[in-house]
Amino acid sequence: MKVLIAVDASAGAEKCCKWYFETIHKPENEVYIFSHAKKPDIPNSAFGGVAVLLAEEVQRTIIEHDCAVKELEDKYIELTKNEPGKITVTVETRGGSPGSSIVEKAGQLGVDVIVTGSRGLGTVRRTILGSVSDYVLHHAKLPVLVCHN
Amino acid sequence: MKVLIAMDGSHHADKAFDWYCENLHKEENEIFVYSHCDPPQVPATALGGLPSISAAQLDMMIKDHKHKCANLKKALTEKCKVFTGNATVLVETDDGSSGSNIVKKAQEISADLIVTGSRGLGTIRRTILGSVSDYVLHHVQVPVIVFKD
Repeated sequence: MKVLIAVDASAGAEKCCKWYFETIHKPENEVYIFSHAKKPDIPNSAFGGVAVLLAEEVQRTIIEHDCAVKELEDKYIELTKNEPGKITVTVETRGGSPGSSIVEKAGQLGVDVIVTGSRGLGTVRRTILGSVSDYVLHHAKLPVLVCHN
Repeated sequence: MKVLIAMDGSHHADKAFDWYCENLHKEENEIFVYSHCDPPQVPATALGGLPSISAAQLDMMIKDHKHKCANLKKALTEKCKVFTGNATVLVETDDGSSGSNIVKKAQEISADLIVTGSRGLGTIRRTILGSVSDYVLHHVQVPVIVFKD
């Protein structure tokens, strides 16, 4: 069975991933751990009404972004290094919403199930079901496993 | 791990069950197949406070309901033969919606995972996420698999 585990940098996603490997995973499963990294906002500063792109700031933003991406990839590679079976970690920088990225990626890879947390980064604390898992549930045409944090 | 599989006698629920067996089940899992049977709909009293159905008709309705539940239990028990480990079939009638009863049952048995379909009986065909799975997702603290075909 091909599995896509949708993660972000939150602790909830990590818990969800660990739970999957502890209770659901089988060595014959092919696992794709996927994270949608939002395209960094390029800063611009107004100076006398004229927008000026400061090359240094832009560069710094890009480097910070790339570092965060690498950190997340490394985190999940480390987390799953001892698990049996084929496991691939991908963090992709895209436009659009995380939800639609996840559904698209799942389609591309031809997975059989999507595993997602229920809340992640940037969601209102009292939300039981965050916007991303909600999107995936309503738009994916395949089974979705929602791990509540 | 204790798994509660919510079934309603629909073809979709059967598929969800089969999918769970093929892809997620592990021998050490304890299975609880749960179906909430809606109580018979007794028509409201007619004008003038007179009951609109006779005692005999009411009797028949209750008998039919019992019969329906017994048949469902038989069918589900048959399906559970595929499990070599522990499997319990529960067909119950209670007040409240199917969703709330599934949630209650999951708490009662301390389920670690709930398996539910996305559509079942009585749902509008175009619904991507039916009312029961929606309710369950928003009211439990354990992982939920929403099966889609």
